[in-house]
Amino acid sequence: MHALFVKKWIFLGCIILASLFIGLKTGIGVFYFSFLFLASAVLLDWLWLFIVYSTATVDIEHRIPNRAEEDQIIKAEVTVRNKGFLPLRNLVLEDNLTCEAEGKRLKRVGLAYIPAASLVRISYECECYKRGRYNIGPQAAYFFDPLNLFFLKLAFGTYSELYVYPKIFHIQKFPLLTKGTVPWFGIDTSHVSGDDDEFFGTREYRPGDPVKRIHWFSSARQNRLIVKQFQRQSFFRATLLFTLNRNENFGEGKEKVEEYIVKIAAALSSYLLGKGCALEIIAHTGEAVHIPSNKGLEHLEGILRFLAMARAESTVTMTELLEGFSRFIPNDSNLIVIALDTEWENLLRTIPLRTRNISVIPLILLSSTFLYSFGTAKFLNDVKIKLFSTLKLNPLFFLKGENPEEAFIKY
Amino acid sequence: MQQRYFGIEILVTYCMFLFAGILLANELTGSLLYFLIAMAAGFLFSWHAKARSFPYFSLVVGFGVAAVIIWSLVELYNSDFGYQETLITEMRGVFLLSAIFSFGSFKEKFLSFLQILSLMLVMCSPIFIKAYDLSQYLAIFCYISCWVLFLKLKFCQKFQMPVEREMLKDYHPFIVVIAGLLVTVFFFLGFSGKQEIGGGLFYAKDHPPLLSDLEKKYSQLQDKVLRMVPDSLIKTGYNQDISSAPLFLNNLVKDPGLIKEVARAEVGLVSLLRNAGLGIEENQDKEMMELIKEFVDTKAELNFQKIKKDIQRKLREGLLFNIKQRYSAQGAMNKMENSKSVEEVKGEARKLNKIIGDSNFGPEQETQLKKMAEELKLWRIFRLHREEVYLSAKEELRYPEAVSESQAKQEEAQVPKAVPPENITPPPQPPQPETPPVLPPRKPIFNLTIILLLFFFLLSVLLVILMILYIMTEQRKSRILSLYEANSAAFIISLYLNMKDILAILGARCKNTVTPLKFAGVVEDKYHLKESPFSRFSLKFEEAKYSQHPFEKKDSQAVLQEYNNIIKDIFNSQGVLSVFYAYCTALVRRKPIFI
Repeated sequence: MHALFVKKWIFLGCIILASLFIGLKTGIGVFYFSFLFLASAVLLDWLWLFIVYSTATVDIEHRIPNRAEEDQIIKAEVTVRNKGFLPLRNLVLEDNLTCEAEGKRLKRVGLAYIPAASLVRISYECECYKRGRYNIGPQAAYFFDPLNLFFLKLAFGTYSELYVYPKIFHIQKFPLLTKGTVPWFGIDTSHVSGDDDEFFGTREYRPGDPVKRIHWFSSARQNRLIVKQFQRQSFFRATLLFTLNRNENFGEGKEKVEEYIVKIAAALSSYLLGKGCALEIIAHTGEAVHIPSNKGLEHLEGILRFLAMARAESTVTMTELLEGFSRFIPNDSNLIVIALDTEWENLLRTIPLRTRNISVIPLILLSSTFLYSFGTAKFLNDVKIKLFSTLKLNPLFFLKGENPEEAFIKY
Repeated sequence: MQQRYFGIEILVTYCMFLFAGILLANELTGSLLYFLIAMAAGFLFSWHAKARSFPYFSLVVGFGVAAVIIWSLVELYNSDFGYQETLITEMRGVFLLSAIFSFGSFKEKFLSFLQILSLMLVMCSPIFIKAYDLSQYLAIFCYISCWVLFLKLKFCQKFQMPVEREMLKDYHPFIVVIAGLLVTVFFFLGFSGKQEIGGGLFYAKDHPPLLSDLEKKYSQLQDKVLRMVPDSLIKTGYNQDISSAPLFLNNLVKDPGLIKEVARAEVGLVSLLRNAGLGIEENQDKEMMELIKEFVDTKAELNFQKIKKDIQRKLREGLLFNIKQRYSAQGAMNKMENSKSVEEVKGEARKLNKIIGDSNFGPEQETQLKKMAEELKLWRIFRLHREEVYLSAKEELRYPEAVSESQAKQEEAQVPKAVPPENITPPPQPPQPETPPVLPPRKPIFNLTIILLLFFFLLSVLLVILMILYIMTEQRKSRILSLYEANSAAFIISLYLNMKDILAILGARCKNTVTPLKFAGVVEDKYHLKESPFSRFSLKFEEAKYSQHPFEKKDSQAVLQEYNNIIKDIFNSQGVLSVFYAYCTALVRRKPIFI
C-alpha cells in the first residue's frame, strides 16, 4: 500500500518545502501563505484520520469455500461491521489471496461509506491459480484521510483454509480392468439388470431394461412390469503408483512433469472410484505415501487432498519405490504406473508381479517434450517398440502441451 | 469505468490549466488563448485515441519536448537574465510543453506530467500578481478544488469505487481545505513574511514594474501635470515671475530630460505653487505637490529603466556568447537598482564600468556604454537623494521642497552629479584605498569557434567508435561464415543464435523457458511470416543441436538462404525508424544482420 502513495507524499513534501524556500528567498507573502496552508491542511487531515482511527471499532467476517479446483474462480464474501459511533469513509479492505497467481495476490476493495453501527457486505472473485493448500489472509483495513493521501492500517489476523485440488479432466476410454476380488466392505448392485452375475432380487421395470429380463410371473401377479435384478462382480482393485522426482521435474510453471503426473493421477482416481473400483495409492513425494485401498467419495476426497499438496521433493527412483512397496500391492489387482520415459527400464521390475496375477498399465510421460521439441515422434516409437517387445505392454503416452484427455481417447 | 475515470481526469486537468491561465493572464497576453485552444485540441485527440496505439508517438513527443527545451534555452540565452523575463519565457515553455503533452494524455505518464506542470505555473503566479482580485482568489480556490477532486478520482480509480456518486457526495475534503485556509489566514495575519534576501535570478523583493507599465504610468502622470499644474498656477495669482513657470514645466515634462533641469524645475514649480498670492486650497496644494513628486519619481525610475534596457541590449549585441560577463553586468545593474546608499551605487557603477572595459567592444561603443553607465548611476543617486530628503521631511512633517528657495538651491547643489556629463567636468574623486593589482580579463570561454570545434571533435570520436564497432561486427560475421563449410551444424546453431539476438533487438525476446518451435510460432505471428520459414529454421536448429545427424554443405546453404530471407521479410514489415534503430543497436551490440 505504501508503494501506491509514496510518490504523492514525496511530491507533497517537495511542494511544501519549495513554498517555504521560495518564500524565504523572495519574501513574497503568498509563498508563506501557501506553505502554511499546505502544512495546516496536512495536519488537519492527519488529525481527522487519527480521530476516526482511534474511535473506530471494526469487525471483519471472511468466508470462502474450503475447496476448489485449479483454475476455478471462487467468490470470497466479507462482512465489515462498523461498531463505532462515527461513520467510516474511504475505508479500503485488503485481502491476501494466496491462491492467486503471483502479482495478483493482494486484493483491495474500497468502501466509500459505512454508517455508524451498521454492516456492509462485499464480495470479490478469486482465481485459484495452482493446486495446493492455502491460508487465505490475513485481512487488513486501511483508514484513509479526507484528502485520500494518508492512511492508517488495522490488521486482522484471520485466515481461511482453502484446498485447491488438481483439475480433473474427463476420461472417456481406459483399458479394461480385469483383475479383482470381492472386497469385504459391501455389495454393489447393477442399475441395469442382467449380465453374467448372480440373481439378487426383483424390482419394477425402468426404461432401458432389456425385455428378456422381465420376470413375467411377478409381472402377472403384481399387474405391473417387474424385472429380475442381479448382483454384479464389479469389485476391481487398482493401485496407482508414481514418484514426484525432484531431479526430473522438467518444464516451467504449470507445464511441469510434476503437474502432469498429479493431474493424471487425480483424473484417474476420480474415474476409477466413479466406476466403483477400489483404489490404493503408492507414491513418493519426498516421503513415502500409502493410501490404502478403499472406495467412495470420501476416499476420493482424501486422495485429492493429498494430490493438492504433493510436491516434487522425492529423490527416490521408481525401482526403489517398487522394491519397497511391491509387497503392499494386492494379488489379483491392476497396477497403474505413471512414470517418465527415462524410467521405462525400471518397469522391468514389474515382471515378477505377474506371478501374483497383477496386471500392469503403464502411463508414460515423454520427458523430451518437456525439454525440447525435436525428435518426439521418433522417440515415441522407440519406447513403444521396446516396451512391447520386453514387457508385452501397450503403454499410454503423454506429451507436454497435449491435452491429456485426448491421450486417453487415443488408447 | 476506466473510460469514465480517464474522461474526468482530463477534464479536471484541463480545468487546472484554465485556472492557472486566469492567474497568469496578464503575463501571457496573446499567447494564452492559443495555448488553451491547443490543449483542448490535444485532450480531444487523446480522448479519441485512447484505445489506439501509436508506435512512434513517444518519439514524436520526445522531439517536441526537445524542441521546446531548445527554444526555451535560446530565449533564455538571448534574454537579459532578468527574473521576470526568464520566468515569463519559462512559463511559455511550460505551456508549450503542456500543449504537446496534452496530445499524449491518453498515456498515464503524460497526464501526470501535465498535472505537475500546472502546479509549476500556479506557483509562478505570486511573483507577478501584486494585488489579488476576486477572480484570482476564485481561480486559486478552484485550482485547489481541482486537486482535491483529482486526489479523490485517483483514490476511486485505485480501489474501483464508483466515481461520480462519491465525488458529489463526499464533501469532507473541502471541509479540510476550508479549515486549512481559515487556520492559515489566522496565523498569517500575525505573521511577517518580509525577508531582506535578494540577488541573482530570484531577486523579487520590491521588484520594479515592467517597463511598459512604467511608461503608461509616466504618460498618464505627464498628462495630469500638463493639465493641472498650469491651472493651479493661474489660481495662485502669482504674477511676479510667471514667465519662469512654462520653462519649469517644459523642463519637467521634457523627455528624457536632464537631471539638473528636472530637479530645478521641480523645486521651481513647487516654490511657485507654495508662494504667496491667492493661493490654491490647502488640500489642492498637497495634491499638486504629491502629483509633482510622483511624476518626478516616475520619470527618474523610467529613465533609469530605459538606460538599463539600452545597456542590456548593447551588451547582448556585443557579448552574444559571453554569458558570464552579461550575467555579471546584469547583476551589477540589479544591485545598483536596489542599493540603499550612494556608496553602494558608486561601487556597482565601477564594477559595471570594469566589465564594459574588459569586454571586447570597440572604442566608440565602449565610450557610449560608459556614458550610459554613468547616466544610470546618476539617475539612481538622484532617486536615492530624493528618497532621503523626503524621508527626513516626513519626519519633520513638512514638505521639503517648499521650505524656501534657498534650501531648494542648497539641495540642488547637493546633486552635483545630476549635471549631464557632457556639460561638466567630473568632480575630484576621494582618494581610493590601495587595491590589489587587477588580473587581466579572462577571455570568453563560450564562443562559436570553440563550440564548433567541440562539436567536430565529438563527431569524429563518434565516427571512430562506429568504425571500430563496424569492424568488430564484420569480424563476427566472418567467424560465423568460417563455419559454413567446416561445420554445418555449428554454422546453423550460430546463425540461429544470431537471429535470436537480432529479434531481441526488434523487440521479440526469446525467454529461456520458451522452446524454439514455440518461439518460432510467436515470431511468425508477430511479423506475419508466410509458410512458416522460421519454424523450418528452428527445426533445423534443433536437429543440429540435439541430434547426431550429419549435416552437409547444402544444409548450410539452405539455412543461410532461409536466414537472409527471414531477416529481409521481417525488416520489410518494419518502419524506417525501426529499421534504423535495429541497425544502430545491432552495430553497438556487434551483431551482423545480413550474412
